[in-house]
Amino acid sequence: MENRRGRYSLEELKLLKRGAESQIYETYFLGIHAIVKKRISKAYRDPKLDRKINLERTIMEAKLMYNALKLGINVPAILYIDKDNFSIIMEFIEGITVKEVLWKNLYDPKKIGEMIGEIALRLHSSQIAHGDLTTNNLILKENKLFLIDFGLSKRTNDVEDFATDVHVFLRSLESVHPDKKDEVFDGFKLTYSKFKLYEKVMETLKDIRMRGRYVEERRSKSSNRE
Amino acid sequence: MKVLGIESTAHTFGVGIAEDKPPFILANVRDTYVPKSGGMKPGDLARHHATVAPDILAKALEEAKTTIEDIDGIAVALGPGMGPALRIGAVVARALALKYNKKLIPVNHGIGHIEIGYLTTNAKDPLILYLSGGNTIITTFYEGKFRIFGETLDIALGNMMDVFVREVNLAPPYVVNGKHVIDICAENAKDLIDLPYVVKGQDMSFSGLLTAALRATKKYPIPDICYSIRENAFDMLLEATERALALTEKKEIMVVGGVAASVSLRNKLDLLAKDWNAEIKIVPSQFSGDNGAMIAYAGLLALKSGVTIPIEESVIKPRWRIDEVDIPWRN
Repeated sequence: MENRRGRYSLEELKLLKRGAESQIYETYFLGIHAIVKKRISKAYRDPKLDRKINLERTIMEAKLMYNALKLGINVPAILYIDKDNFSIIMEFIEGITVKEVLWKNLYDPKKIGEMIGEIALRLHSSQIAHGDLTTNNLILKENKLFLIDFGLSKRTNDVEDFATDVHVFLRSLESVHPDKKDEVFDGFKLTYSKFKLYEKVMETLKDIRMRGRYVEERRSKSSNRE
Repeated sequence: MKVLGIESTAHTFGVGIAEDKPPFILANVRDTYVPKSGGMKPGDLARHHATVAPDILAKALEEAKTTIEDIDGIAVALGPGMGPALRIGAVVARALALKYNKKLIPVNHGIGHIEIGYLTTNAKDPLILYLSGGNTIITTFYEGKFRIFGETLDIALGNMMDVFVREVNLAPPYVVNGKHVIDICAENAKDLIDLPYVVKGQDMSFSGLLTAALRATKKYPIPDICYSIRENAFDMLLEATERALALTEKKEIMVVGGVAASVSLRNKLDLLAKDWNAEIKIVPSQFSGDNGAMIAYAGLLALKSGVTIPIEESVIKPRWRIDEVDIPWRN
């Protein structure tokens, strides 16, 4: 990125955060407070697979963020895309992650859940699955919730993908906030249940969880108790 | 305090003896069933385990230079695993506990893998990768239990690789000179082919990869497929691992279970760790595959926290998840 800095008139790239698959830099782009999300090449990955994954995800992410924005969902506005460098420059959202909000008890968990349910409702109603709906990818700013990181998002009509969003969300609650899981998820269901495929999604969610290995609910089907 | 542990969840019948002072592990004897062809049939496993059990038990006591009278408790892996195989270990354990009037200690097989990992790698607060023929789990300890961050949504990574090499007649045996057959096959690869890469949040799915790989055998050279399966599967796991690292901010990655012995996985993990400034801690090979010592050791920790089970309640649990187990000794 350094060698192309002049091209998009970026000022002072400052490494802000190391994500699982990208570096997030803070900068000013044409005077706008912005972040650069640059996907990193993985040393452990075959170069061909690495390029394929990074290119596909950069393009898909930019497309779907723009779509979500058009739907009126709070997402960072996209300012510039540099697909050769697997980079997207987007608006900086000055807030705190829901992960932190829940950890530090900064907001009513049920209310947070309702807001997340509202976002999922709008996304799914427009055939977009986020793919990584964790508490780490939701930012609270001035009582508004912003959804970030569309790196695993896709356009889809498949209930399975919507249910996977709910599964990933529930999994992030179970593993990171087990004590607040029920409150947050109750709030989530309150708003998300307006989704026209809600019943099907919840059914599929159950299926997905049953597919896991050694799942409690599956025991009733097996005759192995003796 | 000494505990004798019995492992019989899958292909291995093992007996280990652990003590609550260094060197902790006094004996680790086992016999692994290798079918002449095809996969493992549960009935054959049970027959194998029942046949070798008395001999393995005697050898373990001999190796530990102890007698059954000196043992304080009998630990047994009640699950997860295959019913017929589990029952052999359970029967032996119950018989020993009854005849010699010992406490019976229920141990979750996965917790055994994890605890022997802590003991042998000195990990303090790691993100844990539990990888074996039957399990692909990313977990960490938090408030009394091991919490699962990610896992396979269908078959295990190890199982997927085993099935592939078996279906294309490269196995059994699955491991030759310490290397998995898929790694040996991949050494002759020329190109990466396009196969499914499925990460859902922190979870992974391997069944689609297996199906696509088997279908690809009609079109591509086998070494290219071996290489591509391995790259896709390990990279999916490593991506999920990186997500868990980002979320938990752990600085140690502990790898336990049979797949921990994979050299190609280790190489990839080293590269990942360098990137994250984390330390990789891999369970030594004598404790990576299924063994009785890990059951004995986890049983020892459990017994010291007062965890025992009455004989009449000691049913096997073929689907016993690690996140259902209370871990009082880590609080």
